[in-house]
Amino acid sequence: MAAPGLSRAEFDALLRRAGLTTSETQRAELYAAWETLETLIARLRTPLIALEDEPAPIIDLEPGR
Amino acid sequence: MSGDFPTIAEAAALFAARKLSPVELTRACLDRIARLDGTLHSFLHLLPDQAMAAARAAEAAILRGESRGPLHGIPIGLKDIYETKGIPTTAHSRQLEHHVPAEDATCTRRLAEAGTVLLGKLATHEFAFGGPSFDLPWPPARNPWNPDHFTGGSSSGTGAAVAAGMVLGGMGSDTGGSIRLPAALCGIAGIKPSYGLVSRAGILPLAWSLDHAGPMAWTVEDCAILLQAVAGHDPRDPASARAPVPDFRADLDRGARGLRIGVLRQFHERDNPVNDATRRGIEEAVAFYRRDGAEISEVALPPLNDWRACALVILLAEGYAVHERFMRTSIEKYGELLRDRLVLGALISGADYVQAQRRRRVLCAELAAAMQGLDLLLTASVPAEAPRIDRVPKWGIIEQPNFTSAFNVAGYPALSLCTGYGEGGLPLAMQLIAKPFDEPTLFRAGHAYERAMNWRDRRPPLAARA
Repeated sequence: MAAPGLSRAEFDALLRRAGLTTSETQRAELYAAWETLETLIARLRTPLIALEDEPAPIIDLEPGR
Repeated sequence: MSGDFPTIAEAAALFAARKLSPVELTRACLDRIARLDGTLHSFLHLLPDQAMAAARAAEAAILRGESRGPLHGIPIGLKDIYETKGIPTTAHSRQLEHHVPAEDATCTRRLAEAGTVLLGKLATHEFAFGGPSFDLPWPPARNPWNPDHFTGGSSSGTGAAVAAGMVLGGMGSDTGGSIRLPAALCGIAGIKPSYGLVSRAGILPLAWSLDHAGPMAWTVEDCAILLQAVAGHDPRDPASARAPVPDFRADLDRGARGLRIGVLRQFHERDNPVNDATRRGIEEAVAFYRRDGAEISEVALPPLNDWRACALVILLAEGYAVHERFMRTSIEKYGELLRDRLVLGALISGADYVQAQRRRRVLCAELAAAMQGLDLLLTASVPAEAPRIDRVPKWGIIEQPNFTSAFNVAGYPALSLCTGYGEGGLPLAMQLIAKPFDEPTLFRAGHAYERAMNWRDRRPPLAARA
C-alpha cells in the first residue's frame, strides 16, 4: 500500500519485493521522486470517491457524447 | 506552397497535374535528410533504396491513371515503435536493438496500401517514455528551429523530420502528450485521435488504456489526410472502436462560424501558467475565432493536478507491467531515464491503480458535463517555447502538470497547432479538444485558424537554407 509518508526503509523493502537491481545512489534519488509521486497518489483518494463508483479500465466512448 | 516544401495536399495536386513526380519529391527529401540529419538525428533507420523503388512504382501507377489517392507517392516516416515487416523496430532502445518484426503494424500496412513512400523509422524517446536520453545506441532528435533545443517527446523524430521537411508527414503515438508536445515544440500540427479510432495493433505499447496512435504533419489538412488512411476498426486491437469513419476533410472549409468554443483558461492561466508569448498566441487565436463567428465562453474543469495524478499512476503502473520482464532480466539495457521512471511503476499498488481508474471515470463525467453545449475546448499545448535539450529535467513528468494528459485520460481527440513564434524564433502552440469521434470539427476549426494566419509560410532557417 503506497500510504503517504512511506519511510525510506519501507521504500527499500518495496523495491526488494519488486525484484529490481538498483544502486544506493539510484535508490536515494528514486525515493525523492517517490515523495513527489506520493502526493499525487494521495489526490486519487481526495475527495473520497462514492463507494459504488466503478473503475474505468476500458473507455466506452460514444460518438458526440 | 512555401518554396521547396509542398504539403501533402499540395504535392498530391502537383502529382495529378504532372508538375511534380513522386520520384522527384522522394529524392528531394532524401537529399534534405543527407544534408540535415547529421545534425537533427531524426532517423534511426533510413530506407533510401526501398523508398526510391516505392516512389518509382507510385509514379508509374499515377501516370497510368491509377492513383490511390492523396497519399500515393508521399514520403513519410514512422516512429520507431510502429512494427515494420523485415525492417528493424527498436523503440530507440538497446532492449530491441536487433528486433526485426515479422509483420507490419495495422497503421504501417494501411499507409502502405494508401501508396505512401516510407523513408525510414524515426527517433523516439526510449519506448515512448524515456527521453531525451544520451546513453542509448542512438542520440536524441534535435529541434530544427534550434538544434540546441528540445523537440518535445516522445514522438521526437517525427516532429523534427516533419518540421525540417525531411518527410511530408509521419506517425507518432500519444500516451500523455507524445504527439502534441513535439508537434507544439517543433511548430507543426499533430492530432491525438479519439481512443479507439486508430488501431494500435503492432505498435509497441507504453500504457494500453492511454495509448493512442496518430498523425503529425505540417498542416492540419495533412493530418486529416493521414488520419483518413489509418482510421477504422481493427479486430487486432481490443480497444478498437466500431465507430464509422467520416470524411475528415468534408468540413475543412466551413470556417469557424457557429462553433461553440470553451476557453480553458483555468488550465493555462491558473493551474500551470504559460509564458507571455504563449498566452498572447492563445488570446489571438480566441480573437480570431470570435471574429470568424464562433461563440466563445469560459469553461472550467477539475484541476490539472487531478488529471496528472490519474494519468501518471495509470501510465506508470501499466508501463511497468509492459516492461516487467525486461526490468527483471535485463534492466542494464535501459537508458537511465526510462529505467528510473519504470522503477516507480513497480511501487504503485494494486489499490492505487484501481483508485486511479475510479477517479478516471469521475473526471471523464466532469469533462462530458463541461462540454455539454460546446463543440470544442481551447487551451495551451505547452507552457512555453522549447527549452534547451540539456536542461530538460529528469523528473519533469512528475513535477510539472502538462496540458495534454487530461485528454488521454478521457480519450477525447485533441489537436496541437502552431500559433506563431516566440523568443529566438521557436514555435508557440495551442491545443483544441473535441468530443469523442468529432475529429471533423477539430480539423475544421484548426484549418480555419491556420488558413487565416501566415505561420505555415515559415520553415526552420536551417531547413530553408538546405
